[in-house]
Amino acid sequence: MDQLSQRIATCQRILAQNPNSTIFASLADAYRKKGMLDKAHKVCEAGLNVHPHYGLAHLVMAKISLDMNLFDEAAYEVDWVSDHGLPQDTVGPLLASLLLKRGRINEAKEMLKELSLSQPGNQQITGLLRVAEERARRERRGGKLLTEVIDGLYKDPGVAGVTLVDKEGLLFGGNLTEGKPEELAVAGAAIYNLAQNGMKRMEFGATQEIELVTTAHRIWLFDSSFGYLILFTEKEISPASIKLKVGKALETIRGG
Amino acid sequence: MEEVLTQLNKTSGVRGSMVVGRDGMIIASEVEEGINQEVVAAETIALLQTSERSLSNLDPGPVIKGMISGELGKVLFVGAELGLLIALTEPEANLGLVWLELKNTLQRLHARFQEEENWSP
Repeated sequence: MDQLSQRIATCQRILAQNPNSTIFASLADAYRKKGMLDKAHKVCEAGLNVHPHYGLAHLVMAKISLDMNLFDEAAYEVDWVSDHGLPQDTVGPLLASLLLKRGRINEAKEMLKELSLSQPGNQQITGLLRVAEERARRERRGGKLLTEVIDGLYKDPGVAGVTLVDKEGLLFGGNLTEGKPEELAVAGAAIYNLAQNGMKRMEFGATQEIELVTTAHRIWLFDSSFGYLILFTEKEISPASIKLKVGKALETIRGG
Repeated sequence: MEEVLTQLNKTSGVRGSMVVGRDGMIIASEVEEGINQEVVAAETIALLQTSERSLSNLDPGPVIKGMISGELGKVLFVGAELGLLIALTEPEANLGLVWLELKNTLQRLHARFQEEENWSP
């Protein structure tokens, strides 16, 4: 049994003996580290109902929410731990990760620079700063062009949303008529990554495009050199016309 | 049901077809040798469920059909009474024709389903 599984078994035993124990936070964090995010969220949420002022549990909940791309929930928990005096070296990287995931690259970069000055040996901060700097470089290089591509597609009357997202689900840019573009981005990246693995298992090769039709909308996902281009359109839009426009947009992205 | 799928498979570019329950259980399947039908069923249902869950905040309504294009082939699916009707095609298949045949197949399956519902000893 690996170390995490042992930790889970120990926490479960303690929690079974004392259901009101605060060990739930450690159990939830172990589930998170094992990638069992739904279970981690459930355990942490149940524990917080019993211990609503337990700071460590809010910290774990912030990490779980961030891993699940539940940005509003993560922001609430980060605010909570920040307001309740948890140290900046714990809260700072979490807030920076949240900003990065929301596509607010420059804010994240500035914050991480300050954090790295106050904690020069912190590897998590150094790693996040490297990611932020790379993303900022990429934005400077192609940002204007990509924004034009996104805006161009969004002008089509049948298009309700366009986002460009990298393969880790980090939003590069986008517009959405109703809702937050990052929600479309996160959903799109999750769908594309799953399809990518599925098609490989089916021996159908790399995924190039996905089209989903719902009772009211169409969702289109395309692979581009920057990540995924995701369109959320009315159901009745002309597929041929939209594909022509997307083809041109992808050429621009790839050429840019 | 296999007869209806065999008819669908006669469409140019179609390598196989299946009817799969929403729980991933294969109800009927007629696919080329070399295609792992269990994997196709599980992955298509997983994609459908993940899509509906991930997109729920945008309230687009339930997914009624979809297509995944890969370098070596495409997976097309439509919602059927019993679950999903899935067609697997060559990468260069005529999609207009395949969608049309999928629609016809759905109607045939519906007719069979009604016959069985109305059957009494």
